Amino acid sequence: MNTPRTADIVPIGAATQDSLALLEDAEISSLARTDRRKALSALVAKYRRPLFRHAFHMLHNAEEAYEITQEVFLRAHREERLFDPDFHIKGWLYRVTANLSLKHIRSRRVRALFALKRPEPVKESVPPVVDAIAGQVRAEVAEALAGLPPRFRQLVVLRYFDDLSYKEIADAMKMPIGSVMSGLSRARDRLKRLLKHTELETA
Amino acid sequence: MNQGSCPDYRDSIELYVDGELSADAASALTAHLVECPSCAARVAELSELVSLLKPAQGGSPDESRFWRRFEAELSLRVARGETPFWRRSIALSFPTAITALGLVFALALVAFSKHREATGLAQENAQLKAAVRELANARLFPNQMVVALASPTPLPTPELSGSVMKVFHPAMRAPVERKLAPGMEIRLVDDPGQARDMY
Repeated sequence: MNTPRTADIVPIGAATQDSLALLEDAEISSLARTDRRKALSALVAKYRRPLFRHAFHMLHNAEEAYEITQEVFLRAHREERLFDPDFHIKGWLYRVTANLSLKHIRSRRVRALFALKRPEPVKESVPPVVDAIAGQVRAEVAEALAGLPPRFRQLVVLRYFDDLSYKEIADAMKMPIGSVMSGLSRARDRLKRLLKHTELETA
Repeated sequence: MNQGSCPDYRDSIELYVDGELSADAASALTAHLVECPSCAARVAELSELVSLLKPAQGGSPDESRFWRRFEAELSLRVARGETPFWRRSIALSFPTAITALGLVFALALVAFSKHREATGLAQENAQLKAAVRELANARLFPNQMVVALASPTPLPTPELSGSVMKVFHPAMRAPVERKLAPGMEIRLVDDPGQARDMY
């Protein structure tokens, strides 16, 4: 186990070397006992990418995903129990990201309602760096995803984009594993129908 | 929706495709698949759907800059002990949000310097300077620009003056290097018109 250097770590990000990103959550928690700031650096290095990805695939908007990811880490910074031994860091981070993203989708809808227009379509140009981070999704898949109810979209993103297991999803979203299973099954059925639809159009 | 796969295997097929089926159950299912074309077809169909969903990965040289800026900004926000900024930023239009960010950024600088005065470490000033430079150099979104402009407000940290940062002047296509001087203010904007107004 290589321990990263302790010096020169004042701003959180300044010291997020790659080695910090490789630590296990439990190792990060024990690191926090001696140096909380460094532990936070490690968390940022490890989770910034997956959390940004999640928010991006939920919202399809780079700026909003960026702000949400910042907010997640600000909340983590304020969360006192974060490094307690029995605290599920990964589940917590995904829960906060997923809930903020969902809440944001809903507020978008409310605003569209007040503006008396339909919610804006997802077509916007994405900076290449964001594509590299979030991964490029085929246009028809993105469109089908946008057509799913947000709860279903959330499950699909957690399972296939974030690569969480059923158990991890259940843990993060505080729902029974059976609901994860049935929710995903229904989400897939819907997706399939949406994709068939576009396939027929293009054929 | 289900093309006649056997009811007994319906759930296991779903789990199998997601890699959630136990090893025993998986081998039982694969044995069944050999004999049952409709279940096999169902597995093929679901696997295809799942593989379609996975995003394609590609590396990018820009990524480290993106994260450096992410971290620089996060540091400043943490230092400021900021309360949910994003809620407002999202409710506002993006240009307004960015102006607000500039303001927060300036406040963060003040907070930073006030807070550091007691300890007064030159090393920390250097890090702050680095954070500022980070923010200036890494434009995240294509339309965003960092401007430094003359202002009656003095620069919060005198140590910052003299450091060189890239300035995206609205009148120029390419960024220019400019020395920071007392009396200069740094802002992030996303609209050239907005920057012009500030000059």
